[in-house]
Amino acid sequence: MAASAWRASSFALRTSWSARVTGPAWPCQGQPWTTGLAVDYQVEGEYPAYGNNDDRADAIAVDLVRSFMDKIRRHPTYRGAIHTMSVLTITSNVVYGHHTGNTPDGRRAGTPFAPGANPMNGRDHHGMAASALSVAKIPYDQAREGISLTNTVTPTGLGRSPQERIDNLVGLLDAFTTCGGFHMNVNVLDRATLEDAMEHPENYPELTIRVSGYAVNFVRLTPEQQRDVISRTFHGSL
Amino acid sequence: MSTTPARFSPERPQPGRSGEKGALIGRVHSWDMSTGVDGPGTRFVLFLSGCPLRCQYCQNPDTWHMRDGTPTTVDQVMDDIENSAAFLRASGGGVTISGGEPLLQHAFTAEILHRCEELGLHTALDTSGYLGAAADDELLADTDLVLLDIKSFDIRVYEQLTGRRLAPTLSFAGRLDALGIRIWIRYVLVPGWTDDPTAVEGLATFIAGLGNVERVDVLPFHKLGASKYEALGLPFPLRDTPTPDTALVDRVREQFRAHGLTA
Repeated sequence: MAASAWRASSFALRTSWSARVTGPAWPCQGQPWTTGLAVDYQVEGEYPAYGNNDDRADAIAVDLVRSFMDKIRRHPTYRGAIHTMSVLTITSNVVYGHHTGNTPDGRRAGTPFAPGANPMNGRDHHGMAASALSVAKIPYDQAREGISLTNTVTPTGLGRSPQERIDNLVGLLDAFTTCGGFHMNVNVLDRATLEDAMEHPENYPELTIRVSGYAVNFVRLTPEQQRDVISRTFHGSL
Repeated sequence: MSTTPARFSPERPQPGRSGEKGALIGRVHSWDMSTGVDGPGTRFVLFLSGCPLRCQYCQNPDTWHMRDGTPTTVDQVMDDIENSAAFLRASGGGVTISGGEPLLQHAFTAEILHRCEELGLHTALDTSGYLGAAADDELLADTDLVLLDIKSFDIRVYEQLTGRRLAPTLSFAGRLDALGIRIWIRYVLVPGWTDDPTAVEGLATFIAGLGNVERVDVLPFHKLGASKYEALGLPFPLRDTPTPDTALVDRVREQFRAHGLTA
């Protein structure tokens, strides 16, 4: 659990570093009579972002997982237990985000981090498969407790006929695991369904969605968590 | 940390791995990985810049001009395709070259198709067929599937809709048939423009007469491209045209099915 919490912090760094390393993000210092820490950043131009099968950004995520696990392994464990780490958040990405200030990638203070190993909302510009390829690069031997990718697609985003959708989804899962992916949660539903469930929870007592590794009852989430789920990239095509 | 590959950035010079042709430069709009819409399986879709047609309903006015594309070498494109090749193969997908109109840059398109074939990737060409004559037999030999967009079967409507003639598209369809290259027909259904039963009937008859058409995708007109027009400061000609309702889409699909086509 502790590792899980630390993991979220390290991924906060990841999104930051993507901007710091490859594109200019200038820190704006806080007032010296308070903390002197950077409180905001000015991002200029574009930078490669995790979630687009771009090694320039993905290599940073891989490096963070490796180097962080190296640090964990230096600590002796109770009765020689094997160290593990997970890259999944369930819904705690919302809480972690709540307690984290502005980050150099443009994320505003208090807003949620991406769930699990997902790219940040709206940063993946080349579709679900490209974001899956980024996630598949994170080395499973460094995170044996799990690396989770959550995707939400509309039915039409998978194909035209029911059989075609099944075949295409099977193909996606096969391809993800072939490329080293470990765990993909897929929700196939319409955005409108979730919005309606927020309005009328009484009509959806059993609406179950997959959130970064766990099946949760949608109507029992807090409104903020519900909004986070809805604002996540809906991978739909027309 | 590994070194990072070039991603369509013109300032990174790369020697052509496959000689001169790898250094061929094309104008690229963008790329995407999509499932279930641009050919079978999950596909790497390369959008090239530039199109000779000006379809009233065009959803991508940002792809009209070649000059707006990013100069990119074949090798740079292939780096990204090779990066996802294992994924594309395992998903039963491949590579689709779209646009814009990919045959406007036929030499660039031909080389990418060829390199994909060498990698054993399924290839598809998404085209209006207007420049079909620019696709030589060699290019077509490296093409497994053509997504052929026939905008209308009424020659006058076609010209009003696209600003170009229909005939080249139909002769390209005939040539693909003769070469035995598989076709998926795409038909954008726009109320008041392409819903005329007689024109649909004519198209269905023509398509059914070809031996290589696997399916007909009736694509309901939508206005998601409207914001692109706004951003470009252009008027969206079909701003006030309604999107087709389910009954109309069903009627048109049924017309194609009545000719024994998969629609």
